[in-house]
Amino acid sequence: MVGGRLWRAGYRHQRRHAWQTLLSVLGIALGVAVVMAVGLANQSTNRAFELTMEQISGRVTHQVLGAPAGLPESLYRDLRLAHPDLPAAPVVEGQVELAGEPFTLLGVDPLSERPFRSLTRGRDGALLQRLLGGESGILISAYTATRLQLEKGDEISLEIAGRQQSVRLMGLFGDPGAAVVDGILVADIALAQTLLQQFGRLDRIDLVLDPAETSNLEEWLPAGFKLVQTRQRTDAMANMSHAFQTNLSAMSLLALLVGGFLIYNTTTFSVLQRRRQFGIMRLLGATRREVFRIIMLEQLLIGLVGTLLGLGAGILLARELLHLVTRTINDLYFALTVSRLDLSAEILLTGLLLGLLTTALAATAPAWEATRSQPHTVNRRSEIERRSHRALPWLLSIGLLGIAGGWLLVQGSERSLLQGFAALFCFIMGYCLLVPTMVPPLARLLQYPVQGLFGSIGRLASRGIDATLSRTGPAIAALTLAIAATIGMGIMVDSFRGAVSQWLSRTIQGDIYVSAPESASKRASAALPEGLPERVRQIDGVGEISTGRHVKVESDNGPVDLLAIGLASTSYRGFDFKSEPLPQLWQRFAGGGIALVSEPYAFHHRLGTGDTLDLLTPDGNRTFTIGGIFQDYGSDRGLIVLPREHYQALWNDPSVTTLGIYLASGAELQPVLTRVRQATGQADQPLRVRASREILAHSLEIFDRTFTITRVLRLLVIAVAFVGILSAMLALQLERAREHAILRATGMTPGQLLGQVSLQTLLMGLMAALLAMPLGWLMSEILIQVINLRAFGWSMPAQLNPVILLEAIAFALLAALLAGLYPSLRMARTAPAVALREE
Amino acid sequence: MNNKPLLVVEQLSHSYREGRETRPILNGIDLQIAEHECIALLGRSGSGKSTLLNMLAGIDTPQGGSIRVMGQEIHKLSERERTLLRRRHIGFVYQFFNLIPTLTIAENVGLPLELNGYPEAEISRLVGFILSDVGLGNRWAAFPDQLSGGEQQRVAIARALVHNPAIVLADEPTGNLDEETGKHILGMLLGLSKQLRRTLIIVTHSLEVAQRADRILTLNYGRLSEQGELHW
Ligand SMILES: Nc1ncnc2c1ncn2[C@@H]1O[C@H](COP(=O)(O)OP(=O)(O)O)[C@@H](O)[C@H]1O
Ligand SMILES: [Mg+2]
Repeated sequence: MVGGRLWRAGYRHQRRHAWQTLLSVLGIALGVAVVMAVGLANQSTNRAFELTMEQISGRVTHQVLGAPAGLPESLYRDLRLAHPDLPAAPVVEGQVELAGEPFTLLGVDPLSERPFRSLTRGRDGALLQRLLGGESGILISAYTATRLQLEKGDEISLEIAGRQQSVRLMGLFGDPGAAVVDGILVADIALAQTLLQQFGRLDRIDLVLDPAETSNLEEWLPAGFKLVQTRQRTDAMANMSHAFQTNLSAMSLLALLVGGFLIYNTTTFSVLQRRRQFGIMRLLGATRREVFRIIMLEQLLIGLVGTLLGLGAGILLARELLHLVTRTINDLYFALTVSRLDLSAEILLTGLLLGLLTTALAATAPAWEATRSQPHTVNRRSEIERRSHRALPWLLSIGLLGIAGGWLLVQGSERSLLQGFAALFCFIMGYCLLVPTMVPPLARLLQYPVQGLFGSIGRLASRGIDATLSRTGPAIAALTLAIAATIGMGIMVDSFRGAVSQWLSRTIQGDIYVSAPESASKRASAALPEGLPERVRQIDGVGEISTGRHVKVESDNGPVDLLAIGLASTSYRGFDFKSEPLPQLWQRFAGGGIALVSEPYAFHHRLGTGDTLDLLTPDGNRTFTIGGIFQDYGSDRGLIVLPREHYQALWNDPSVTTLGIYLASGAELQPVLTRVRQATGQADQPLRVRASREILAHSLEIFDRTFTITRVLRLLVIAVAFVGILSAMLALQLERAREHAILRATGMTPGQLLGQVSLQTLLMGLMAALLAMPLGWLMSEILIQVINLRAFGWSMPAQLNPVILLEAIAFALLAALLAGLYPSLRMARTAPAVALREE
Repeated sequence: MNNKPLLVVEQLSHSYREGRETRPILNGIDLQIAEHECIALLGRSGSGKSTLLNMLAGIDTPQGGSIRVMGQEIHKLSERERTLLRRRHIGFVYQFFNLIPTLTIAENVGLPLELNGYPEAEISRLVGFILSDVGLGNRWAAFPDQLSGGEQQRVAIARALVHNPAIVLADEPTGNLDEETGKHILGMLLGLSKQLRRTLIIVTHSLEVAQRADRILTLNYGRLSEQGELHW
């Protein structure tokens, strides 16, 4: 048993060094909070996604899908006639907005619904009756109604493809207390078709199918339609955002890692401060195990307090992050409404374990070190320092091994994201072990300029760093990691933004773009009015036009975005191929049979130039040869580009989604813009006419929005790092109270002492900032070349913005300065005798 | 006096490395100490007295020779067994840095008892006794930094004796104090250990104290001699 007196000694020590303890608690709390918040936000979105899918898919096993234009209602009729016993239900599905939130509008046939979904059953038994009776209106879940304060009978306004439409809220489905269903609106199929303006067309036919019957049905299906498994479909959809979520989790773990370093550092200090005490305890007969246990328990208690605080803070933070994560998923992947945090016991427990485990890992080495305190060496400071200098070659070798391991991990696999993160971790840990070995040479290097500038105080300050390596080493390593993390993430986001902005200005070759507002259909973007391209071409000042049609088509690999383009003569410049495309590409492209695919698509499906892929057209599957792989940051799922004439012929779809206008030479932008606005204003639907500048700005805005979460995480890592620097420096200087007292007693003025202490902390901050630069750069390289590529399929050049480095230096110095201030002020206020007297 | 040897040292040798050189400190020490004996250990500063005492306490291990404490070969014991032996049978007073600053006087003195598993009631009783023995009965709630150096050393003595150890080792317990206080403390230590019939090995520079011991040993150039010349 570990005795009460050992406990009390530890407790009082922590109380006397409350600052240090507090920062320790804060560090772990922040780390846990970030991990928790990201975990909760991710889990809540996943749960919401699952629930939504469950409601939408119900017991559906298979779906019949078709071309972007949808399925004709006749197909459903034919299916019913051919297979009268097969449970089948027609579905219309679209994207609408209610109260500014995205909702999925589900149009169903109440009569065929029974085997599939419980939506129309609800609490209101008469609902089906009323729908059948021709009553018109939409249904909303009881939960959503409560949340948005809607009541049965309300007139609600939906925004559909840029237009406001008013409908009646006919009833509620689902129990308010049951599993939360949010983000779904249900209507009778006819109403849904009217609202979405797709008369006579279905989006899919849902089926409950015995696996044995599938081949039967497949044979029956006319060309141009496809039978797919629902499970596969929802899985593929869920997968879309997984890479994004994994990245968030990894970044949050980085915050915890920094927090862990913080604990390691403060534990090391608090053990070193008490070496003498532990020596006495050992002398009096406390066994190594007892000493080890008491320190571990003490630190775990601190870790526990920090973790509990972190869990609480994490839940609060999660509410904010949830909003950001959902917005990013809505911007990048699919529409999803998440209005509730999914707090499960598992995730709380995971957070608790993570916090405690990090603390335990961080405290083990210092606690073990404490058991080696020997009373006869306690007053031999040189012995400790000798030992830490002797450990340097070991640190060097283990550190190099770690880095080599990281390198091997990167080389070992081309695709594994997990291995990428493991490599990142190896590099970070390896480098941090190298840091103490780099401190002595760096201190010697800095000694001369510092001595030249500040005289003997400067020499004292710089010599002190090397002379107390056992303390300064871990502190500088912790600082280095913290600063490097902010540099690495900063460079990554910066490079990303740079690459996107470059890509945008290359892709947006035209001067003016015309497009329809957001589409309500999930399969095709809204079409421009017929004949618009011809009318625009007549406008004075318009040189050339390019046309684009954006749809979703079925491929062997599931649904894929397809862009059919009618190119202007200079549009070709908009493509930047990642590898050598086929020879005479553009000629062959215009000739048909050739598709261009984006880098992420090629990466995810392991395709190369010259490979083939199949796309579903109304006449059945068509094979295309990949002519080139181009850079595209528009979607991490990928994009396929075909010439519009061929698309139009194959898919029987003459619509145009966007129009790019190239000014005639000598024409001014503004007057042409005005004329185009006039010409398009006559259309019966509102159209967007924007100069390329606006599109660029708008796209970057969206980019920034999707990266807000990353920036927030970086800020959180910085916050943890700041606390880390503060606590490391504070502990270091407070620990030197006695030394400072001696200096004061021998005649140093408080001002001189303040100068010396500040100079020393500044030097350490500077060293850490210098050492952090290679690590930060290394981290950004791995984030960009390995993690981003493996997660999203995007490659991009790294861009080193000096501002980020300057920011890091300023941040390190500021934190160091702040940390030096308190102990020296305290020292200046205390009489040296008091400090000397304290143990 | 019972002559059963409590402590037997044979051919003990030890040297420290300093850079590339090895400096022999102890060079073939033989020593036998009986129960209830009081030994004064003299020697120049740096002659290896503390090193020897640390080895007797089992907190440092010799490079050559053997030490038997209460019939047990110290170097054959595991680290844990050595610790348990020390906890049970040895009391220690250092020149300085004796007390744990975050524990009160009473808690400091009670620590060895607690480590040995005494119940709390017994601990406060024994601590009360020994603290009044050293004249600090009314200071039990104070923290070490509220005491003078002499008082701190008295607490250390109380702690070294409180759990009734067979052997008390004192390494220059008054080296840090003024002469007057030092004498007083030493008198107290010698008196108490005689009264409690403990075996005491005390490192000191005071001849006066040495004269009150049963035997005087001198450590000189790595060797031990009885009643030898004093060179300081
Ligand atoms: N851990 C150590 N490493 C190197 N030298 C040591 C160590 N401990 C003691 N010494 C040296 O051994 C010699 C004897 O030390 P010590 O036993 O403390 O002497 P004493 O107590 O007699 O003054 C001294 O010269 C001292 O410097
Ligand atoms: Mg000594």
